[in-house]
Amino acid sequence: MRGAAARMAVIGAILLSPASATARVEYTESRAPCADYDPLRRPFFGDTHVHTALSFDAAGQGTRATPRDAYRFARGEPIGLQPYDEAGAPSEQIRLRRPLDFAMVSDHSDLLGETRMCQTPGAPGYDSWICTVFRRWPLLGYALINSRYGMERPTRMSLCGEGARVCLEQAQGPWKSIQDAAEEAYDRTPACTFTSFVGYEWTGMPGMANIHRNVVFRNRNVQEAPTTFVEDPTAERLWTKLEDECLDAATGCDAIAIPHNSNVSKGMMFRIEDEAGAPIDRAGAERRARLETLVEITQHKGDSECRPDGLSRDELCGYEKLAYPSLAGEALPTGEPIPPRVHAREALAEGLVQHARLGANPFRFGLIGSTDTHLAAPGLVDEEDFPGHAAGPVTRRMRIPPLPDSPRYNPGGLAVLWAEENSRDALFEAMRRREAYGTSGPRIVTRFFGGWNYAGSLCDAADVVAQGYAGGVPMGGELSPSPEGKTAPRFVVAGWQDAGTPQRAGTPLERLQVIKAWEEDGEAHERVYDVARAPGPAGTVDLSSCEVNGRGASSLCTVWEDPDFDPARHAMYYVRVVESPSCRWLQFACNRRGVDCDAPATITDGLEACCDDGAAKVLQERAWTSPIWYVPPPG
Amino acid sequence: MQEKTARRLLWAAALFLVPVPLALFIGDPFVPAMRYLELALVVLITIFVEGLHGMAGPIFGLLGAHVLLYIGLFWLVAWVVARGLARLVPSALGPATLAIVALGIAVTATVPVYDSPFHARLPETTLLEVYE
Repeated sequence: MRGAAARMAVIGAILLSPASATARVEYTESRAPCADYDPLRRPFFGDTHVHTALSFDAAGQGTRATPRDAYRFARGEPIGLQPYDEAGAPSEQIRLRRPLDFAMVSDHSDLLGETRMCQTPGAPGYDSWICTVFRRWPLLGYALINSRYGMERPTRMSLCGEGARVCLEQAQGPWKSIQDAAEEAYDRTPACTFTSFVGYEWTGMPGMANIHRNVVFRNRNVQEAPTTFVEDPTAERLWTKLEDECLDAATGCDAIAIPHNSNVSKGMMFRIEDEAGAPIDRAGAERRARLETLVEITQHKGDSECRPDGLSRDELCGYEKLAYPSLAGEALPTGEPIPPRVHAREALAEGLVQHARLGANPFRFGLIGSTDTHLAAPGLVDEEDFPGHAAGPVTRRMRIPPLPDSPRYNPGGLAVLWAEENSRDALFEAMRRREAYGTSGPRIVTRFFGGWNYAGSLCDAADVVAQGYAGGVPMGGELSPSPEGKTAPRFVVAGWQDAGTPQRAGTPLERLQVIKAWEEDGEAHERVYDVARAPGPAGTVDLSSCEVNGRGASSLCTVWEDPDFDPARHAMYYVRVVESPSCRWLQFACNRRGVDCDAPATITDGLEACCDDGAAKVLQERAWTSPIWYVPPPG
Repeated sequence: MQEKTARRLLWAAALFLVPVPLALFIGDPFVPAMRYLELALVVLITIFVEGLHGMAGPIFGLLGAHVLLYIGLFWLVAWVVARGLARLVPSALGPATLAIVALGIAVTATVPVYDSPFHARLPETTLLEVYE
């Protein structure tokens, strides 16, 4: 812990570093250079996982907001929320307290055509039986159609015609409108106020195992048609399509894929076999690391960081965990155990083992968060007035439910990118080099540098960021080989609490942690280190008012040296910034509805979860940085 | 009215009017058994049109099993009620049976007792809406 003056100096060094008038980002499409350019980079907050009315499941839930609406919302404008009345008026308006810096609409590529066909009078297939069922009984139609696409070998519905030609043709309209909306929202002026990305979600669901990926395009040069799970049902085939139709197509197209919800992947997300079942080889590992530079670690349908019964017995791994290995467990709990390698930390550790074996790390990914909203509401992460995200079993289509969402779900998180400016190229480069982190919702700021020669007093220096870059690598990087005489790497670890808004203060920080994984004798190991803690007693929260008590810290910074470093072992380190306890959305919702667990009359239908001890009421919001890797010298 | 006729009338009324739950399906539906039969037929037609894929079979099985269960259960209930009425008011069995059915129709047509999560727009709450 350092003094307030030192903290302010660090904040100043990070947030107020001198701007350059000359843009140095290499643009891959025409745009004016951003006036605000920071060579030491700034954190940009956004959401890369957003569904609109173009997604089949969102449409079934009654969402009417379009990609244009989603971008308006991200920029701070209000949008309507279902249920809608007969005249088409929404039941309420929602609005972000703070606009986002960037966003990407990621509607499901699968069923993009069918969604349009079933809702557009005159479109081919509109009068088909299955479209009639979907319009008359949307949730039944959703269950019938979506489950068909969740099979080992998914097939198209009959309305799609031979070779799915009709549905793929019909998907072109929505795909174009997604691109047009992104183009409209992207600020190409020197003001650089907002960045939109074109993208989609490849919705791989073999046997109900979630292997979804969000594809992010660097610029407006994109695939002619989004890749679909039905036609290309493995991750390898998605990557091949991205290579053939984008990266290697010489069209100026560039893209990455971001896996999400490995927590419900039944162990299929981070496989160490290829699609034929053979062990992954070096080329396969390098390919994956090239295309999948980020993983979405948290979102509406749960956290995917680490398992509570994992190698480190990490006490904070119980955060926002789903109790089943696939989303089928939401409707039909089977008691199946959670298989190995479903969490990001397990995969990051396994990547070290694979690196030692193959000479390449297939799981060399950084970490972000996002929402997976199905309300076209990017960045809607406030716990206090969470309206649900309509991506689960609780529908808002017909009426406002007693509780806004399943008690197992949460508002989701944010993606944060360290970039020189708010332009597509600058942000995409941050994603590619993994200089990114995720938060569970709050706008926590965190820096993480790794090197060999950082001074122990670096946190007090006014130019800590410049020294951090000059003397090492930021999050997402790889440590250089150890210089002569250095026995262990040093890390600059810093976190600042969410600054909040004039109406609502942010929650103070409780501690900074470094999570280390390493490979030893072909096995993965992990350990959690508390490297900085707020002084004073631990924070608490008053459930009746949701007031946060206890001291906490507005910022924490330390230089930490790995006490267990072995230069012969592959290792990786990432930081977890942990807030003091605060109320979870469920407690806010129950308080607002006047529930008193000692007064049974207040626990009306649908509010039972308010008084269920198994449903979490308090949480510790957090941020996870991308890792810094250490690769031992050959031999 | 014969006891057999009263039993059949009560049985049919229960199947068409009494809201019953559907286990294992999200959303806590609460509609008459005949509504589940209608949905089961919708799923069956879907299977004929699109083939047996995904959850179509399990959903049809779930709906069908509930319909069969409620048909049997309500037959027993109707049998007991009809027998009771025949013993209590043997001379007014017909009017008593019709009164029960009329009361059921009146209540379900005016009080929002139903809840179907499958519908496209407004919640189906009364008899006038549930078989729209």
